[in-house]
Amino acid sequence: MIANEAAPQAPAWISEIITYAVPVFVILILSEMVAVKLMRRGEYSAIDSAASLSMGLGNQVAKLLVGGLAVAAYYWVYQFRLFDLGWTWPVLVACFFAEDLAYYWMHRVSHERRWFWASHVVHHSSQHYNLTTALRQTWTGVLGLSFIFWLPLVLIGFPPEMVLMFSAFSLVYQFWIHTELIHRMGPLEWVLNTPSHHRVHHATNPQYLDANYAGVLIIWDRLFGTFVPEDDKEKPRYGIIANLGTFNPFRVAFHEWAGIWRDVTHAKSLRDALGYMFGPPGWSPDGSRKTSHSIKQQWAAHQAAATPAE
Amino acid sequence: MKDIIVLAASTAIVIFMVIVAAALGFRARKRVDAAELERLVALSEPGARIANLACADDGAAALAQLADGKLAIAKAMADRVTLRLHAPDLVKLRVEPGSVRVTFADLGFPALHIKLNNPPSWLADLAAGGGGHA
Repeated sequence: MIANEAAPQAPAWISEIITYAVPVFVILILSEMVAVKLMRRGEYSAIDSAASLSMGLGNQVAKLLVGGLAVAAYYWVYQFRLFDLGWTWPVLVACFFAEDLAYYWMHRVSHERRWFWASHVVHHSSQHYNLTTALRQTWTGVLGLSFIFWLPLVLIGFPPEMVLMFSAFSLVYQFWIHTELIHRMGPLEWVLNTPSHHRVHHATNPQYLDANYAGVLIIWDRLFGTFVPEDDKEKPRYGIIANLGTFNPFRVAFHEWAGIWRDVTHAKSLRDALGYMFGPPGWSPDGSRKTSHSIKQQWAAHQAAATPAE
Repeated sequence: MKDIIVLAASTAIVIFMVIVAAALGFRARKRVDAAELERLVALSEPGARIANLACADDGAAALAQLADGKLAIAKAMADRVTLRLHAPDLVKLRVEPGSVRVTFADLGFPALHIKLNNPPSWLADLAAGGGGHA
């Protein structure tokens, strides 16, 4: 590629994006706490926030310890890239959309397959929905191989630094949407992932399950049929199907992995073991446990029975 | 070294934010009573009927036996209540002086001591390996 003075360069601050965002996160969290107190809209619990923020701290420690593995995987795959895309404005625009699409599928699979859910469940394990929930992050994302969803991007030829930059931007973007203080955002609701869309994503109400996986752009959910709008008559109930009975960060971080281990070691066949690992969360050989699908079915049947025939 | 400093500063900020949350009064504690348990069971298992119910003396937990034999265990988690529904064989119950100890296989739900000075007979029966009186 011919060097061009007008072409963008890989910024030196890519690895510091999250670090630079932290002071803004802190100011926004403190502001939200005061606003919740004054406006009596939204909810906080000090101990729940302590658990969420501890998970965020642990996530940073985990990234320091093993985050390099994901970056190393990006660079290893990049040497087999199909195209030399380099840093140009059109490539930056394409990478933004490609990264957001990769995020959508990573996020969707993280809800639909237990192996990836074991890491992601942490983020959903609070029964509250506020800005501290945004920082309730997994400690096992890299070890759970969630980074593999971005490998196709570097294989195509997007520079790893560019992919990492948009991943970081996406994480920063997703912080502010974890709030009950913002209701709707007009026409932006059509294109962007907003607090309203993401409240639906965090809800356990049967009609809201498995919806709105977007990172920045909600268009992917509209395109792939997973979009569900927030219904003002159906207030979201936050958390997970089997809510936790603990605020202990270590239990929060590892409970689903322990569950997989317990199930796999008690499995009666290889098929059952694989089902416990890679089936939908809640899968069991005899169907005795609840999955999102079975919960939705049960809810729909109950709704139909409760509705008088015309 | 820089990473250590950033982590130490982050820890201090986390502690500060939690103190602010507590100072602002976000310390509510919910009590688990029969109505709350019934509400949660109805949400989790539409149409389910509670056959037997025991609420902890301190309002921190409650335990119910559903008509189909399942156990519903509710635990106050600050200002929220967590409910678990289990087949009786997946839960270990032990009646101790002044409480009933409930143990789960799930790492995400530590053993629960339900304060009950006078455990109802169905609970004692269940803990002893009987089926209760559903």
